[in-house]
Amino acid sequence: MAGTFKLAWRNLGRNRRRTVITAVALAVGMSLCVASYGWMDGINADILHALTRLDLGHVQVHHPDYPRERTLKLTIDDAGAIVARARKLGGVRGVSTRVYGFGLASHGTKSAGVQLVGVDPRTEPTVTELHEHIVKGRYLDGEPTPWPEGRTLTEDERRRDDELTREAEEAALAEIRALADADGAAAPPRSRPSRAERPGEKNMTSRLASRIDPPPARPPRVIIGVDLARILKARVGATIYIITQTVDGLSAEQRFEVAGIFRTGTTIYDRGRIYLNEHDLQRYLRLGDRVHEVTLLASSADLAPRLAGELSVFKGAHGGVLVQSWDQIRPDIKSMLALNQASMALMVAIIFLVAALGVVNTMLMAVFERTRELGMLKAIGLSGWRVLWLVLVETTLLVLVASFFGVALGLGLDLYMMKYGINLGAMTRGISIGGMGISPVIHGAITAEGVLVPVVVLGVMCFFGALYPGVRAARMRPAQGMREA
Amino acid sequence: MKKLLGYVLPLLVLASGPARADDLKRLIDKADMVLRGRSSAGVFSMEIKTKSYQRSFKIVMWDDSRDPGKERTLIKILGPALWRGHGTLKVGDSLKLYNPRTNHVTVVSHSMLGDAWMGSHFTNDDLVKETRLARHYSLSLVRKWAGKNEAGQKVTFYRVRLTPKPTAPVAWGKIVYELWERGDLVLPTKALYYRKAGARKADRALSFSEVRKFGSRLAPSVMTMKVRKKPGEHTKVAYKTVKFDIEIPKSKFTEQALKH
Repeated sequence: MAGTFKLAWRNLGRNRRRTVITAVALAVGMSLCVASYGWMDGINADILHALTRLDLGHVQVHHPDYPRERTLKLTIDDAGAIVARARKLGGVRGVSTRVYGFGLASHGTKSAGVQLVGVDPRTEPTVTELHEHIVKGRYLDGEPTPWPEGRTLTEDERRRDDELTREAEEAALAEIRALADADGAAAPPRSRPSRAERPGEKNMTSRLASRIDPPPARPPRVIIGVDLARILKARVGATIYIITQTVDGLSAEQRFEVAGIFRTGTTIYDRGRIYLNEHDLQRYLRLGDRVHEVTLLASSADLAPRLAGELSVFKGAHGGVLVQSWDQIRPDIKSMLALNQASMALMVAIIFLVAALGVVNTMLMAVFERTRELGMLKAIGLSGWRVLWLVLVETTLLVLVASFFGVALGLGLDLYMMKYGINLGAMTRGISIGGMGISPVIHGAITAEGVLVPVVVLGVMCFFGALYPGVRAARMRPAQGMREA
Repeated sequence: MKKLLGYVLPLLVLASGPARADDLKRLIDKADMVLRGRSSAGVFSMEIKTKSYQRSFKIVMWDDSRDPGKERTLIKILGPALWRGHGTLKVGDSLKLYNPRTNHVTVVSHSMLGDAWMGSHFTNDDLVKETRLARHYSLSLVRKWAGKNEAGQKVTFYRVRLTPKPTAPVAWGKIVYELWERGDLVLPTKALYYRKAGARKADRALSFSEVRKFGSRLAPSVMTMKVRKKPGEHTKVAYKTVKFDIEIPKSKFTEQALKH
């Protein structure tokens, strides 16, 4: 056996130039495959990263109807218990809760419809990297804005309020009557200001309103995306107004202060989202301590289905919640990643098919060249199987050597991409895949699959490629072979 | 004979077609304008009843439609305290909301015309009457029949289908409007709004009732809006006073008046 290896190794050395050329071709093909795999895995990792580390996390819990209807009142009943449970699961890196709302944000004469996202500034960074994307100003405070709860009016106050309403109504009626009576007369009558409109009474109205719905101690702080900041012409420190509809149908307007501006690269967030402290949003929307979403980050995206399963088992105890892993929430991204991998495998197969034809050629030449010698070996008693074995071992050694250098070169390219990245910024301004912005600097990624698949595919193809020359050599009749010059 | 009919019939259809369309347009226009007039000012209450809350506003509304394309509406809430002073102002295409508690005026984008006004079942568009039925929809008669109105008088009822014209900036795929005519008087009874033209069930229904005399004019004093997706809920508007065709100074429709 050892003899065969020695013989095969020496045979490779007999026509060095040809062997080296073939080996280099194989090695270059291999390195390109490894590097392309690294490139594609890098893009896939970027996509998954943008999806899970900007917003989604790996597993999310909602009210069963929330993902479809997205209405305020569809909250999770016992988020605290779910969070506590999720923290105990193995492989969980972070858990956070969120509250969502919609509003119209305005600043000066500019306005834009926005999604309001309430996050817990202390736990959110364990799931998403929002805090790393602040480009101006700063991230949200850990502490919620002091914002007292309201109370219902006393009997006395209610009487006072009714009185003010009645007076305002009478004043309006009087104003209308005066206009109707004047009916086209030259001077439009000036209405007598009602008591409710006089400064003192305006104070009364605002005092009553503040009893029912007290304002916060200071404008709650928010962070907004770069695109929204541009649309609203709002800078850090600016006061913006947001109108929303609370969970009990009140139209509520509130003043907020822009604490920071973020840039995620994902347009829908950068132009359509306002983040604020979860407690502030709960108070603003009158949600109490209810939340819309629990999101958790696992140490690896692959753990998501298992963790979702473990949380689902638990959900029975806490009345209908929907637990979904990231690939259930975004099956489109999941299938896009799978498609990327499949097309990569196809490319590897095509590259190696060409390489394998080269191997067939090399081995065929090697066999023809040594016809006499092989005839001699057979004449002195080497069996056909041993001859076939010899050719296959030669091929395997060639492939192994080529793979070694190819993988080394490929990993070198991968490492270069990982360290420096390849900047596509010159060709395109930001890349958006499936609605998610990824950085134009693509960083490679090294995965076991990215190395093993090319090596195995090349090995298998070359094995089959060497069968033909091998079988030919094995079937040769010794006398005929020795006669040939 | 057949040949003659072949000539005459199309002529008859041609002759009656436009006349009927004009007739429908006149009916719809009259019904649509009944609570608006060329200009009007009124005080009404709005009761909102939903599953989670019940609320009542007192409201004053000023409306001036004499400038086509630059219709003006000002709505101010008179009470209760939490909303007193809230205002909505529309001049032409611009819609503004004023909140006295933040002392801030918000310019509302066109896309928000379909949003609920103050948590009611009416939309911003309903309140400021952005859409003119006869202008934005093409009309066809569904049914015409003789019947009795609320007061028991003999009247002619019409059911008219309104389909939006291709370029109309409207949210509805179809509206079915019911009204009656008695001599010179045309009053609406019901409007059914369908989001999709082919839908069988109306998404919301506005009914008009309790016809009263406002000055010299008869008009329904109560409007009730119901939304199919929210059974058991409604918003009811009851007019206390409306004065029609009065001279409202332009200064009433300024940001100053909105904030006043």
